[in-house]
Amino acid sequence: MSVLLPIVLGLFALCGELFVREAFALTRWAPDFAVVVVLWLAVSRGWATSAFVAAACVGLMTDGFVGSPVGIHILQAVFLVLLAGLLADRVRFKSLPGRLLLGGAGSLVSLLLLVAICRIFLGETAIGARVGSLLLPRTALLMLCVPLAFPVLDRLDALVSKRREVGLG
Amino acid sequence: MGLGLVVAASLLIRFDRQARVTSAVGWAIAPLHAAVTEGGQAVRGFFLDYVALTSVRDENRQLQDEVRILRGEAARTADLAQENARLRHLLDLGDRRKDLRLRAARVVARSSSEVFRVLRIVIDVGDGPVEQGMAVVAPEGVVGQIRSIDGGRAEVLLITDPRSAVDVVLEQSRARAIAVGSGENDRYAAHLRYLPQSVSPIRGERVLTTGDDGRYPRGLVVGEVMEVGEPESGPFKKTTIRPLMDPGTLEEVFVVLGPSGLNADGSRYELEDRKKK
Repeated sequence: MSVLLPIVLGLFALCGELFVREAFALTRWAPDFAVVVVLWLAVSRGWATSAFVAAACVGLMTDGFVGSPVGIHILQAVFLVLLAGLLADRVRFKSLPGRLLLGGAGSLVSLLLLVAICRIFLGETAIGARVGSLLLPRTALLMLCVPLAFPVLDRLDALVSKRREVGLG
Repeated sequence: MGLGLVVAASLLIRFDRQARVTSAVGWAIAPLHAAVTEGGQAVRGFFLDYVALTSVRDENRQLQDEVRILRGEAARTADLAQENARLRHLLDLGDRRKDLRLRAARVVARSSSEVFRVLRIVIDVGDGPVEQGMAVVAPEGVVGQIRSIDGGRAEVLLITDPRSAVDVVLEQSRARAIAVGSGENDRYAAHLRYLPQSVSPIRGERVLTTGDDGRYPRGLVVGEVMEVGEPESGPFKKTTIRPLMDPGTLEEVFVVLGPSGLNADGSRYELEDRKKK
């Protein structure tokens, strides 16, 4: 399984998020595309090594884009893959309700993880209040983005895998 | 693998107190970050400029409409102000000449003939019958006489028409003459007839009505001396006068209905007062 594709997708996601944020002067209502990519990684690849490595890379790039201490978003991404990977064995995320659920739950969990990590490692307590105001808009946006983005990401992944197989063949 | 990464990330956060790794990652991301930020801002700027331009276009259209309306109002106001000034000027004549019964009239048309000098007026203000031959005056001086009447409309023969003759006197020399319209097609003027050779009119000297012709009241300004001709062999001098009123711009005039029975300043005749006593 390719590690490079999710990393490139993660980079595009971060660039896209930043672009949308700047172009439309969004603050709370900016979509978290990187989390979408991480959730897709977790669902499509489970606990595979490539999923963790790619998620860590996306987290690292997120730290670079956001300006947070390196490791914060790596931890958030790796935990998301762990938790979503656990759920992926029990819930079918191929259906629309499943993806809506994944988007909503993924958004909530990612924000809670961020609060928890900041609190544990940085001793940051005020972040909880700031994140509180993001819960509703981020969750709504992710519930919208996940069902839309997953088929596209699946197609891309299939396309890249096929090429690699042909190349190897 | 996942747990290993968790531990690694935790250690990274704990031991990167100098933020060297954070700085390095930030430094590596910075060019891309800056480029994407600029791109987003450029799109936003373009969008905002477009929206602003759209609103500017609407605003411009609205302002142009307002300017058009205001210009119309300004023109109407200026017109009213001019009319007001003209009427005020006209009323001054009424105040100055209380010895005359006057009736106001509006000029509605001017003769298009190059020789015949005629005005058409509408008599719509004041009382008293208007008759043929009555004098027509403006604040600047004599305009002419009523030539014909048709209901509330009348035709005025200007003093510059060759058919017009006014008994006049030079203000300073007190020499008398007859002012006959020149009928020239390039200017409004009248010639002084029967002015003796011995008289030396001064250019700019005023020419007044004598009142002896029974048509024009005494003391009204007919015009001023414009040209004094070379002495001729005959007994009379050729002199041209120009009316002080401009028939081309006249809009309101007075028809002189007759004497009012008062003096010019509004006082009664002394003779009548004596009779009463």
